[in-house]
Amino acid sequence: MNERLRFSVAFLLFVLVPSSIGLISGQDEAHTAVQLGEEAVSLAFEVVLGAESVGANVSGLVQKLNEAVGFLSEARVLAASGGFDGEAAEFASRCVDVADRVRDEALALLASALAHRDFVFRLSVVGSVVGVSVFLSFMFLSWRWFKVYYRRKVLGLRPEAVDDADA
Amino acid sequence: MMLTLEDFGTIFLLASFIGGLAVTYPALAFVLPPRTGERFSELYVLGPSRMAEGYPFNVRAGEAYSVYLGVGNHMGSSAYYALYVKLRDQTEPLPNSTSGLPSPLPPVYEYRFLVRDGGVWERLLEFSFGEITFAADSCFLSGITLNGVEFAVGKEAHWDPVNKGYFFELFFELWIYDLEAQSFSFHDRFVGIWLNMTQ
Repeated sequence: MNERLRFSVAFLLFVLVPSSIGLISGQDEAHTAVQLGEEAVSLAFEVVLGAESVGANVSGLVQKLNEAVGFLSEARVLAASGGFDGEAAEFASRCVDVADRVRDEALALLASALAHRDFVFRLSVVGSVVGVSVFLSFMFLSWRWFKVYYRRKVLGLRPEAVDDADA
Repeated sequence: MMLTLEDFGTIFLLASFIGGLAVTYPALAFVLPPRTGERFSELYVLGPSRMAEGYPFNVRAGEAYSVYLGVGNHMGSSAYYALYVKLRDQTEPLPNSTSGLPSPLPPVYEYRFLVRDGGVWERLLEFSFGEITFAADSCFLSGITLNGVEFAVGKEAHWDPVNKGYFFELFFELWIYDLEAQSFSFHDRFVGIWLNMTQ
């Protein structure tokens, strides 16, 4: 009897422990994959926002990142509903792939947008300096011409006092 | 009245200053802070015909219902949102608008998405209910199916003698990703629909 009991316990341990370890490791795998997906999306989002803030057109990147976020949502919902850990990990892995690609593209776009912004800024500064110099010179010359014109035309019209003592 | 030469001198000076500012504006625009209006997000729920009417109200187990959920971004830049779908009975708490705290109830389902500034996100949410058990003055809801995924809820609603029904509220909380905190925070926007469980 004792031996049978021992055999039953050993059998249960033999069958149940590995399967529960498998279950837990499956959940862990899904949880880790989802975590990685979340980190990949947030990194990509940060770079996309950076590119957008310097004036890059990020509509295509936002669309692609939305695809990654869609995979992440699927992964989270499947992981939370239980029993779909394999599918959840698969969706999370797809999310990481897409988010990483978006991050790389956003980094390239950010670099090119920064270079373009820098070029436009330098051009604007040079243009402003030249433009202001030309404009102020024009105004100064205009003012000089106007002063001469004013004195000649306006002051020249003033009636002068005539001394008629001799008359 | 005639303008003197000094008056003309002032006009020239003023015109030079204004013209100089106009000429340097493209360079100044890089260093001046950008103009910003009010920043906010909008959250709305529409009926199955995509209009603010025909919302599901009297619901039964096994029947399919749907609503449209929408979020508009006016935050001045692209935003990363999470929309949590939660279910409560009449005694359970809603988010607190005054303190800006979300409902402590766990989400049943969630959406995550990015929206560009000025853009709108809209999705159809399809839902149905699992087994609904009615007792003397209460109703027990075992589960809900959202967009084809089943979730166990195990909630009980008591008979409401005033409104005459067993009510649950399906409500939606909008959260936004905070780059500094590296996590989502409640965006103080929520909306919901009341559902009367019927046999």
